[in-house]
Amino acid sequence: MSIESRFESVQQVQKALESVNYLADEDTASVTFLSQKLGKPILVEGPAGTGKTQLAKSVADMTGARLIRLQCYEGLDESKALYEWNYKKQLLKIQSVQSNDNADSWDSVREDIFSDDFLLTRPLLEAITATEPVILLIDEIDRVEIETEALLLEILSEYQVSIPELGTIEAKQIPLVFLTSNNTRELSEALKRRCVFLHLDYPTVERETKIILNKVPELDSKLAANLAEFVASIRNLDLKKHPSVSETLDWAQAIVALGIKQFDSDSTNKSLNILLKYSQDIDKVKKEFLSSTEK
Amino acid sequence: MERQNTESGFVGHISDFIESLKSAGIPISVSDKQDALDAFEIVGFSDRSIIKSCLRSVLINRMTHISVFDTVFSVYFPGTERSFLESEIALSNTINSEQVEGTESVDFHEKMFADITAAMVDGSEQFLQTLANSAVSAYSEIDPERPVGSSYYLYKTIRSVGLEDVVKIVSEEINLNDKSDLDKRIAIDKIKRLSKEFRKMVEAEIRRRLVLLKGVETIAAMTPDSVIEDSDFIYATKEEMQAIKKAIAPMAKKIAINLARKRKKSSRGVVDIRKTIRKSLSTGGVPVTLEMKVKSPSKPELVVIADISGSVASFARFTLHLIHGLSSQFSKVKSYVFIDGLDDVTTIFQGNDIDAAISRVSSEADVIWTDGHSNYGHAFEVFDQKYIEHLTNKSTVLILGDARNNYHHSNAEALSSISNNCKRLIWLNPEPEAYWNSGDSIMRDYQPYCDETYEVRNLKQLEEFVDTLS
Repeated sequence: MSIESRFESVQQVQKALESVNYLADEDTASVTFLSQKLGKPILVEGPAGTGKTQLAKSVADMTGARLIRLQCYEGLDESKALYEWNYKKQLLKIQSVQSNDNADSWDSVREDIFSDDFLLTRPLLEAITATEPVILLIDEIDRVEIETEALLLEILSEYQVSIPELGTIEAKQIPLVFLTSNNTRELSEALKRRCVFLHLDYPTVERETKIILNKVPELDSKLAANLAEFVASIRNLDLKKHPSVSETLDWAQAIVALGIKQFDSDSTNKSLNILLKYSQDIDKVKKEFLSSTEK
Repeated sequence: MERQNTESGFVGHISDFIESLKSAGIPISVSDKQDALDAFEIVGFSDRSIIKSCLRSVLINRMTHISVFDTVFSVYFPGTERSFLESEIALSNTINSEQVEGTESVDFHEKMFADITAAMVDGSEQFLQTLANSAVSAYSEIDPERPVGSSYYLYKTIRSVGLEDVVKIVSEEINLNDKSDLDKRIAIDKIKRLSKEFRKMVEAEIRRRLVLLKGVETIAAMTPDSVIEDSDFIYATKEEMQAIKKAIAPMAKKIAINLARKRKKSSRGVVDIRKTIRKSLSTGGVPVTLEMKVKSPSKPELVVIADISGSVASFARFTLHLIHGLSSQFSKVKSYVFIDGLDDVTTIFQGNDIDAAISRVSSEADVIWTDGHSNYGHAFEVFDQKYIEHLTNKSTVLILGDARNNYHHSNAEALSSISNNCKRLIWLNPEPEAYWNSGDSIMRDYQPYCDETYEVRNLKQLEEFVDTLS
């Protein structure tokens, strides 16, 4: 019920996100709002470090819902994502029944050991069975193999999980689901069809300036604008890794810590390694932007 | 409220909109359409940009389709940023009031030029938007009778405004003042970005007016936009090439994954006794789960031989990006480029900087033998003589080119020798299959030695090819 009341209009979602320090643009707020109303998961795609994961966290913050996170990786399987039977406990149960000489009731033991008590819930099942409002975050879905993706289809469209020994477990309430992808591979059509799609790109200069000021309030606003302009400029270069928003923030923090008051070649030169993580990229930016001062 | 009155017309309009997206190459299912209608129900008609975000989120599921969606949306829902219901009235007002003013005068032009310059320097996008609107009013001279699309009026307006001159003058001014180079560079980047923005604003405004003057159907039919997956590599424009470039990285990864499929841990095969026993300790000595031995990974070796001559210049650029993408995925990629000579460029692509690699290829690679027109025969001969020992029985050879040999000797036996020395030889041709063997194309001479040949004109076909690899 608390989730419902938080989703009255797009503007309200935007404001609520802002109140938990997430500056969403209108596009993001609209899609978040719509997905909640349609009861469909959101697939958030975009370059690394544009706030995809943070969006899910902030929505959890703003609604007061519990965040359940499934971090995807190559080799993720059912037993890590959905559920697993607790073999050890089952064996103990069998052994204890045997030692009590209740051998006549194998049927009841069998009934017993495939019950909720022996089920280890993993993130997906946990999100389905939760009674309180939850936000399910399936992070970096593009890392799992295409076969594993199919695991998610039932839960994403029907909000239910089928366990052969127990039957089908239906969701007690429909959780808000976020899937994030860095687009390192194409996701299957079946998965995409079940989601609403949000492309989260690098923010505009104005918005990035606001984000910097929001997270690093000590910074002078003129300097923040300079940083944002500079970052936007170097994102146009062909770099191995473009600076993400979080790296911009780290950089802004470093500039505060170093006590830099003026945005110039010298200070940039000193702190560039915080913004860029590859030496080729640093060299390239220095060559493009700071070359004449080196000579 | 509006909905009640216009029910059928409205649903029909959405259907037309979706059909238009489909014919541009965007796949949309029936349930997507239902979602689009639901979206209207949920967010209402009040705000055009919110509706745009919502429709985009349910109808599109690929980043590369966004720009096509935005164009088609602007045709079917002409309007200003916030509203699209009153736009019609507003437009007729602006057109009527502005046409009366003396827009021909020199003064007007100079003021426009000065205003745009000022707006660019200040970075005020709102002011730019106003200026874009009045520039369209003044210069585009939209004539509903003429059968031309928005690009004609865009060109006309931008040229009349003198946008290039604005950028040039502002950039020169920036260069003259005594700021540091860093500040100058950032300021110039900003001007370039804003001039692009301005162009987009003008284009959107022109399209909006065209739609209102000539009707949705006419303009929708005249907007030949199609998704990037369908555009030919050979004719790709610079912008399209940028988009293609972005799409290549995930594609290269997919090729890598598909060629390396066999590495995956399988659930069948030889049981790893040691691991199984070890795992069984946690279940009281009962081997509940069997652990399999991991099969020794086969390392796919990829050899790319690519034509980079002028006749396939755009394709060549794509090819080089693909090679670069593959090099970052495979440890063992050997790459060779040729025109009429052939050179090994493996080391050039081992760095991470694609632009540097491309310029090094054009300056350092020894690919011209006599006249600089492609000569497949000679290129294969060179490969056969100099690099054949680079192939092993595990190599997959990928040849990229149109097989237009300029009537030179085909030298198919050299290709046959290459084919005999590798595991698999695949030829990707950027021309439609119907044109193979026409003119100086000699695919027929080479085809017998290829294990597979594919027509790969666009990203969609490349994707299909990648899928067949698995």
